[in-house]
Amino acid sequence: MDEQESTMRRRFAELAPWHVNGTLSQADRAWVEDYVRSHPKAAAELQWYASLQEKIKADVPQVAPEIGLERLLNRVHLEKRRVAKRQAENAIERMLTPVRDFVASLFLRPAYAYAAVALVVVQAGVIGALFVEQRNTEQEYADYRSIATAPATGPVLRVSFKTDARESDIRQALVDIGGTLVGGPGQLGEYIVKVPAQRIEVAANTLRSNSAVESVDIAAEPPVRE
Amino acid sequence: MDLSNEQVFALLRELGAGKESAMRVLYRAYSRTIYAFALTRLRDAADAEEVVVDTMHEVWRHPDRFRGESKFSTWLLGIARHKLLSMMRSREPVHEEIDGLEETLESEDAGAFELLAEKQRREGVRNCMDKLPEEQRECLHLVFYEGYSLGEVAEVQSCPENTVKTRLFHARQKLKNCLRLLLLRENGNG
Repeated sequence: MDEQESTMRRRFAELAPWHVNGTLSQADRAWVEDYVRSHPKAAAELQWYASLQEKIKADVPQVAPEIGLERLLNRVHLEKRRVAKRQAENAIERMLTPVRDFVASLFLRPAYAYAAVALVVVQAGVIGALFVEQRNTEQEYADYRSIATAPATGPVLRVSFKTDARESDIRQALVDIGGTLVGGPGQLGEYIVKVPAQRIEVAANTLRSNSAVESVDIAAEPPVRE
Repeated sequence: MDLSNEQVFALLRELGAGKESAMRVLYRAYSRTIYAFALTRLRDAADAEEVVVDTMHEVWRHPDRFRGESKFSTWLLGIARHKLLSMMRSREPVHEEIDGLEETLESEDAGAFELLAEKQRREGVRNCMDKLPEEQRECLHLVFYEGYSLGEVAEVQSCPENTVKTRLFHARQKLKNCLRLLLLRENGNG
């Protein structure tokens, strides 16, 4: 066997398996077929490969295409559940972390802890004071309502103040006579003032001497409300 | 059933959206290919099934990793190969190599091939295949069962094409000699 023949023989041996499985390029396939035509005995090797291929294919056990599928799906379902659980845990973790960090920072810095406690105490005090004040206001409002609604009877004073009289002047005039404002001011600027009947004359004279008062009249009964 | 890459891409997109129906289609199309490949190396049905499940699980987890640069089945068998190799790492090799036969019987006469083509039996082929080194047995499976080209076999086996040629050459020699010995033994006994 000369060198050229030997080279051709090696090339044929190299290409034969691919010729049998049908993946050779057109050029290589043509070369193999030419070689077999000129070396008829080489066809036996192709036949052997073909026989080998047939037996290898036949020897692979036929299994159902679903082999292992249920196991895979179980694995996938388990993973999905794990992922869902992990996401839920992460969401809770994200919510709790700032709170936990804040609490941890309080313990790590006593000054902040004291400040936070003091803030809470002050807030509680303010809320308590507001609550008490609200109760008092409600009581005052109730008292006022009871006075306002109590029907005034008997003689009253009808007092008109000068136009330049201030609110403090009016309040001081009422204090001077020990009177209680039960009505007014009306359309003409009159205030209705109640004092005990036995002191009504004295009170009227006192008011008349007050520089802030324009006029004072004694009425037997308070005017009827419109 | 071998799907086109377009069909595979469509299914992989659905897989990415979490559709199990797409997984069922892909699984039924390729499970037997992976199983046969794994069985060639592992020679254990349960282990081969495990490789099928592991491989398809990998596809489920990373459907975007297939770029379409090769056939989908080639890409799949590449994954399967990694799975089965890691499975085998912890195990002792069980095959009885037949390197000796390669040197003692090197006859290239056409008569030997003729005789083998006519007389070799399935059990004999299986017996001799089992004695080949795993890389060579795997190579023969990819060439003759899957019908892969030289480039595709090299891709699955993660090696240069020349390595595939060498593996195939040695497998051919050992297989041929093993089969001839079997026939001689049968004739001697008969």
